[in-house]
Amino acid sequence: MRFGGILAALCVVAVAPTAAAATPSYTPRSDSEVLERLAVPRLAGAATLRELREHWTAQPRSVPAALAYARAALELSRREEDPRYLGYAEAALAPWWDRPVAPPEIMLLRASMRLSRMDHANALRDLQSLIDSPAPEGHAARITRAAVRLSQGDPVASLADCTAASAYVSRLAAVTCTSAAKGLAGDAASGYAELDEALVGSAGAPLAMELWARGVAAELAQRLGRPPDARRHFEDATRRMAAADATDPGLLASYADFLLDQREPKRVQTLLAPYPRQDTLLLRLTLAERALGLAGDTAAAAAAEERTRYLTLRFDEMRQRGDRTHLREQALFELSVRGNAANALQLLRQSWANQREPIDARLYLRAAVAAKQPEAAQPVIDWLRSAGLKDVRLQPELATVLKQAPSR
Amino acid sequence: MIRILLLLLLAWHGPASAHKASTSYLQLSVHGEAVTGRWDVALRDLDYALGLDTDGDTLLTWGEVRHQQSRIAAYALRRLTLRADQDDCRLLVEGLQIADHSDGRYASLTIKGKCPHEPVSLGLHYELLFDVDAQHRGLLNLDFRGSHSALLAPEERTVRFNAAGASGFSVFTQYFRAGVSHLWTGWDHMLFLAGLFLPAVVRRRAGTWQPASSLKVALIDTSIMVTAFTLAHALTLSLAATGLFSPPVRWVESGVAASVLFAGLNNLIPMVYRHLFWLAAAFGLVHGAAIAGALIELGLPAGDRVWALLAFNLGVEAAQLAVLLVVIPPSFICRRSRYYRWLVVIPGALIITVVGALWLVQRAFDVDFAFARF
Repeated sequence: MRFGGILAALCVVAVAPTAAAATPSYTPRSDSEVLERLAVPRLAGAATLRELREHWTAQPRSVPAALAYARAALELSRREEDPRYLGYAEAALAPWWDRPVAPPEIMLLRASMRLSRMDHANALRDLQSLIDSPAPEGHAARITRAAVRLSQGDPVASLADCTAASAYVSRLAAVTCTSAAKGLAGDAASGYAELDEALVGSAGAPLAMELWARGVAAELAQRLGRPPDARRHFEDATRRMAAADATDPGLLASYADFLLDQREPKRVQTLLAPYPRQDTLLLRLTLAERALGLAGDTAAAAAAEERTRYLTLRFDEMRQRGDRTHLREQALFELSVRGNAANALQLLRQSWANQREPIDARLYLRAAVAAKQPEAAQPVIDWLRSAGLKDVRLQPELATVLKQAPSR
Repeated sequence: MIRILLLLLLAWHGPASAHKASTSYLQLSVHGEAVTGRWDVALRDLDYALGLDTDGDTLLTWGEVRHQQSRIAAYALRRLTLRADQDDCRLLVEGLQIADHSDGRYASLTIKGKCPHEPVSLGLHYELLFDVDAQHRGLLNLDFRGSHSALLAPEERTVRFNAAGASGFSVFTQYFRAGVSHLWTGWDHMLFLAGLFLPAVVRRRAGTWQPASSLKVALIDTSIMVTAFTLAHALTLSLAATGLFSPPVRWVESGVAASVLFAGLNNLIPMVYRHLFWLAAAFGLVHGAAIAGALIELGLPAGDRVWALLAFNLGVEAAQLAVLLVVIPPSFICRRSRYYRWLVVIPGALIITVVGALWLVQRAFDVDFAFARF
């Protein structure tokens, strides 16, 4: 039935590709017609989102009530990849949102929401003031900042934060943090070895911790050109995820990217079929179905075409909303699905200021080669040199770019 | 501790696109005074804000939505304001249908409305859902002297559409029209002028009412008064509209009421009857400061401020002179009749005096007389 709704939505998309203006309105035939199935999100704790929200509505300026509701909503936004929950969490923090100084727990949560909105400047300001404060949230702020620095392609700053925080977090968290930083600075081999060893010794780690560690391990293994190791970590992670009935869309997307690299689109299809409502995953599913379609699977080809139309509309809607959190995904879509390398390059230019992970570098290089603008990749080459990143996946495009546009 | 920490780390692990964030689609057309439009709001959002699922079975049916049309309409309309210049337009939800968008079904509200007058500048204030979902956005498509679009967000709740970006000539005509319509709709302005005009064809001389000697004299006299008024009016209006001078609103409004009272009273018990243009000029200064508020609401186009101000003042002046041309000649013909004095001048002056007095009390002491609201 849920799938029926999606099919219906896809049909509408097919006739009305230009967003709202052209969407026809109608009167349903009968009162009993079901228009919407309302989500009843499950939370880890005993309370439901509705209960936490009622508690907050009754006393919107109470820090504990706002925090409980905002944390629950944020957890849902991550698990469901649904930005509405992020909006609920943000609304709960509204009384403190623009205050330079707020209770430390609020500031920590606010920083993480600002990161979700790609507002790195304000997030880093919040984290800095927590680190400078005597509040215990300072340690969490430091490890969060380590991860931000990493995503911004600054392994040195990231490593400094990991080291400073390591005494206050679990061994697995500390090793994951430092290994990720080392890996970005060109020392993936020792980073991977340490992490692999730490993982062996930390059976029973909290789910989220283990998923994070396995994701980093798999990424480092790929950088080193060791697909079997990467596969092992991904398989362990998805097994653990399935056992806990949890979803980590980020990890699933990385796994799908790996499988696509390994030319295993059929496995991607199986892996992602249960998540048609999550656009990052839907994009990977579309890539897999296109590959299957090229290999002669006509049903997959038709599905990919349908999904492409749907994603085009989605990206268009996000652009209209002034939403800039999806630039990398949109670049991947433009490059790999629509074959529009120039558009992809344009989007990557915009996202590069805040997002410099190996996946961004690789996309950037691919787009520059495909658009026949090797000189456009200069920022990536400069960054690779300064960070010291070594990644076998970057080699083919990097060689092409360097050959075509000898660096200054 | 560790749990929270990890939650944080993973919370931004995948910031990329996902489900669609909450968005409403608002299409409005404003032609003359009439407003028509359509507003699509996700059922999921309306349920989150209003609790539409009355039987709590997590299935939202057409029956549940349809029966709550008035709740939905009241909720939505309280969060949308459309202003024609400085006056609110009246909006109604005339119908409720369903529309299928990419992320689910939406309530599609048919909007009908009426503005108090044809707007020169249109302001829109949007508050929907921001209190429950800070990521909500309103996408506005507006047909108002051309098509416009805007994105409404918690930090961008108000948008205004006016002559900005238009050519110098169209800025001029728009603000000229605003000046004219200000006179037609500004009751206090009209009454004050009436107070000045009424005795234009009769004169108080040596304690008695004397008919004016010629139409030419009557027209020239009143034109001088009106022009003196406009010049003074232009001076304070320009100073206030450019922000160089901002007197307290209550004082200015009370001053305008006092001027109306005085103009009326002066016809009953003449206090000033020579060189009336000085009086007109003095009150012009007060009226100018009062109108500045209206003009600030309209907004002055950045590059064409002088142009717009001049056009607005010329519009006011032209409208005043037009009123004179229509009113003075018939009054002139009737001026010798005693009925003119007893049926027009004296009752007119009485009305003006009473209204001026009521306004003065209302504005100076902040009392609301429902019957004197204009």
